[in-house]
Amino acid sequence: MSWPQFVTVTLNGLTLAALYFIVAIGFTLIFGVLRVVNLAHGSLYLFGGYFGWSVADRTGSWVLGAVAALFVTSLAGLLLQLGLLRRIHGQELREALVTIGVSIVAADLMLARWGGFTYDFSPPEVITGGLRIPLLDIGYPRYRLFVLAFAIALGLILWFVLARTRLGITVRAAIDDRDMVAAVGIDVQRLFALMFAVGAGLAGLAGVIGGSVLSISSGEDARYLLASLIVVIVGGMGSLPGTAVAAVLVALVEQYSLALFPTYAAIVSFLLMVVVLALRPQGLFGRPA
Amino acid sequence: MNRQELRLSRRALLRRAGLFGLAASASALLGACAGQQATPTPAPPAASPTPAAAASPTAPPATPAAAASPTVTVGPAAGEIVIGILATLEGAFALYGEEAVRGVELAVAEFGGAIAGKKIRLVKESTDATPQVAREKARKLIEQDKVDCIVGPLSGDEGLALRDYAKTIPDKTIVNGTSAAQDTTLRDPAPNFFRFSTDGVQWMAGLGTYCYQVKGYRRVATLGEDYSYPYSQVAGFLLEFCRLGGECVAQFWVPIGTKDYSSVITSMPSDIDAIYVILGGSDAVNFLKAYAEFGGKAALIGGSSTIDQNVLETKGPLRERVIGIPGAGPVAADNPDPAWKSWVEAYRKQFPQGLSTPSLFCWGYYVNAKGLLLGLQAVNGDLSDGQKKLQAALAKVEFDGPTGHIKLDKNRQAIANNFVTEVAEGPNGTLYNKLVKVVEGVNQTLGLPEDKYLSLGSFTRDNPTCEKIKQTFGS
Amino acid sequence: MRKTRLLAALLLFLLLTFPLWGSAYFVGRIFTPALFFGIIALSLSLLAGYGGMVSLAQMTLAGLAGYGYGYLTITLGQPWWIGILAGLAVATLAALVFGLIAVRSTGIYFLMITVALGMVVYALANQNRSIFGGHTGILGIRAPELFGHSLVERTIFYYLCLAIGLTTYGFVRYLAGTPFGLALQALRDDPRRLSTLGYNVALHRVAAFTLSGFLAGIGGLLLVWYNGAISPTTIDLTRLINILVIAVIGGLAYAEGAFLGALVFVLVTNFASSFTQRFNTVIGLTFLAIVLFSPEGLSGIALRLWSLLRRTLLARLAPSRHTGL
Repeated sequence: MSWPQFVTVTLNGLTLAALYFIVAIGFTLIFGVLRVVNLAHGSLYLFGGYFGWSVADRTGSWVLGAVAALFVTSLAGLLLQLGLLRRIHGQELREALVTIGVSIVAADLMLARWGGFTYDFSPPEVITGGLRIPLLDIGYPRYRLFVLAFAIALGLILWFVLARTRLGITVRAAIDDRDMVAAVGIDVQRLFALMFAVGAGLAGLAGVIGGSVLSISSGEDARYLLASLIVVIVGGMGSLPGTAVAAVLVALVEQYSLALFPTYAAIVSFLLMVVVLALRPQGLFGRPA
Repeated sequence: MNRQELRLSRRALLRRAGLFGLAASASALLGACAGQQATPTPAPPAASPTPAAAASPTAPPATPAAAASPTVTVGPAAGEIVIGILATLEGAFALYGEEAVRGVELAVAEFGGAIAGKKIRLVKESTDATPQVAREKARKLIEQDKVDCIVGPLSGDEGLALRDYAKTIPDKTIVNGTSAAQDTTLRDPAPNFFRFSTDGVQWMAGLGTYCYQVKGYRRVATLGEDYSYPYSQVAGFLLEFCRLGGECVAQFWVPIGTKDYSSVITSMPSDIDAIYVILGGSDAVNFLKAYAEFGGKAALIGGSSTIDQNVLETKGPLRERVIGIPGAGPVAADNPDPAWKSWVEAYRKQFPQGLSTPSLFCWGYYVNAKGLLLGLQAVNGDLSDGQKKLQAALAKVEFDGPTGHIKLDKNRQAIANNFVTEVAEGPNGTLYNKLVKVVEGVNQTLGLPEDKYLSLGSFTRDNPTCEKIKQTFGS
Repeated sequence: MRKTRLLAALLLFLLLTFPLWGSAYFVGRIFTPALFFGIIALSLSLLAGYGGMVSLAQMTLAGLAGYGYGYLTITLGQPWWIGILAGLAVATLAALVFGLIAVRSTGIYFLMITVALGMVVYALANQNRSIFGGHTGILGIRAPELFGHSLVERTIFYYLCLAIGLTTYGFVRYLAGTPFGLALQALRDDPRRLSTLGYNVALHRVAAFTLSGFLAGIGGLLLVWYNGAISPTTIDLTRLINILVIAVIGGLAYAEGAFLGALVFVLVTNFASSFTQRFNTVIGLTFLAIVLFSPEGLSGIALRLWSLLRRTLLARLAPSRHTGL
């Protein structure tokens, strides 16, 4: 691999990692606090993407689409938690099955509404188009760099909220010891609802941001669900730094594999997931269950 | 989840049980009446039908028989010919599927909707471009909808599956849609599978030569999806290009539905003149966008469905990057031939909300349906002897379609014209494939000696290479 | 008890004579697929309902059996019985490997590792041309032929699937009462207690997985004969989930649930399209309803209905017993 090629592949990996991080962080949050494996996460991603596209198409503003996606999927997540998941709280497997059921229904309804067509986003011109990296004289898409910047910003915001605000401290406490948090008198149900909404909202926002990198169409929900699963398993479910590190690891591995042995590269990420689950089920940064 | 956890209060359970009991009895009723209901589907209206949106290929669960159109019918009523259409009315290829149905309807309209006094009834089933579903839907058409003939399928791998399926139903006839994997008729063909459209190799006739001689390309790389149809296309391109002395430096194959081409673009060698790209629909859009953003310098050459009309009509910044790309295929939008022009007019008249120019998918289904209808006409709609008369007549059908003369070879494969095009901007600002060369009477071996051609073996991701082509045919 | 036996006998009689009074389409395209999908779902019921391990890789194992058969008979040109042995061997071996990999995972982690394994196999099948045939898969697969008749002829195949279905069903029911089966159920309920009793929990889990792989492989062979081909689509994520949906709808804890669920599923997907395009929504909602309100599935509901019916009948027939005098 030549040097410019190496740089490009690494950049591809980092920007993909940024995308994975944005998508997977909601999943981690929901699991960390609620211990729910939300297999409808991909559906929320896709729904956010579709809805955001429709809004952007109607209003001409990509930003508005992104914001709308964030709000509508938060709402969806809230409904999901309050309406369905709350009543079977604590039964992990059953909750997972419910989310599978929701994803099946959601995928079909979205297909009915938006069809199987591909939707392309039009992010504002300032962040699209190509860019030439000076020293190496290679071209790189500007939008991918934007995603990288966005992910870093998001990570920093989340870190700040979790480390410095009261809400953040509560969330971290809930991740560590849920029962204790309830015992101390904090309204755990409200916290759960809030976290689910946040997690879902992030998924929806990722739908627009991620959808703008490539495009959005039916089938993306399964793809990003699997990607989130891999990242979150490798990093450790419920661990936010774990998600970040794992996103980088998984994405880089994927991109290098694609560059070096494209035929079987598809297997590598799943193999990574298998290896981690078999040897260290709690992931790199997670706690033993 | 042990049984203790699974119990529920009796009252709640009884309520649900009642509901499910109703559902169960409904199914039982269905079972008793299945096959006896006659709910004939209405003849499709002249305007283009809305695609039936059914399960997408990957996300929701879809069993073996995920159907799209309302059909619970029993056989052809007396004095009726039932033709089943298999096309991708869902997923990424849904637009193509719509075009496919329009093609069949155009052909049927030419015959006034009837053959020898028997009315033609069309039944649509949707596939998702996978061989599994194609097989299932074909079975459904034959066994449940009791069609006489099938027109379809749309994509390469489906064609291979249907060829095999056809062998199990010798008293029915399958006529291709647009599936263009070469092996469907070249290797191990089925005696009741007819293809009046040309295949993926034939669709490249003239392009390799054009790129070498006119565009001056000498070194290329190829990029295609990893299945039968792109294999045919790459082979077709290389067969001409390499024999003239061109070189293919690298071949990239990506799984169908790949959206992220960044790694491919990164690994693309820089010392090439052009990249030959065969991707469909939205994938092509993604690639073109990414390639430009990554600052890709090499020119592009298009496969037949890379720069299909659907892609050209995509909105967005794609347009500027597409102008000038050469391609080849069985149709050319600005073909001056009067037969083409009048066909386009007929299309526009019958489908005012269709595309601005009919696509290759419309053409494929049209010529195949027309071939079938001509065959039916030749036997006066007589399907009584296990369709033997029909199949014999079909093998002899030849006619002048919108793109020129079409006749069948010994494998029931079409010999027809091919067009080399280059993308240009029309007077009203829309992009189209401008015709630059017509290659007449292209057969499946591109005019090369058959024994040497067959010795190349089935086309796959590693076969043929430029060296092998040069060795086999000399350059 | 006697009434249940009577009902079962009646059901069996109906099934056995079905080709005589049922429509050809129903025999060949509804009940036969219901039977072999039921067998694959049965492997999940065994694993999940009795063993407490919910796996999404059952369809993968079934598909591997199909690929094994296809590879041996088409690519290597071997006779059908070698194909059968190869197919079953591949499925069982793969299940053994999967079991070993997943042995330490429980609950949701187990589910996810099976998804990952399923996806690895899917990606492998999609990309590898030499063994798996890539995206096209392996075409032209033929079922065995005996005495001049192909096993996939409609009536023959129906009886074959019925026989195998009944055998596997009987086997699983029988297994539930054996020491191994009881240990399995104990494993589902309380693994820690089981291990304190001296049982090797890991061994039981691996054994259960391997056994389920064998069952799934049987279903997979029937499936590949029915289809005459196999391709990666057969084992994509959607199809993997379908098996779970089937087993849950029928009732995960019941062996008959697998077949009941498969029948309902095949019926809905075949006929619901006559009523609505959104049949996947129908299936999804049914699945959701069952998980939320009646995790015992349709089997549980059927059982409740039956016991209710019996009690009502008894009450009607012998009122004097309930007068409280």
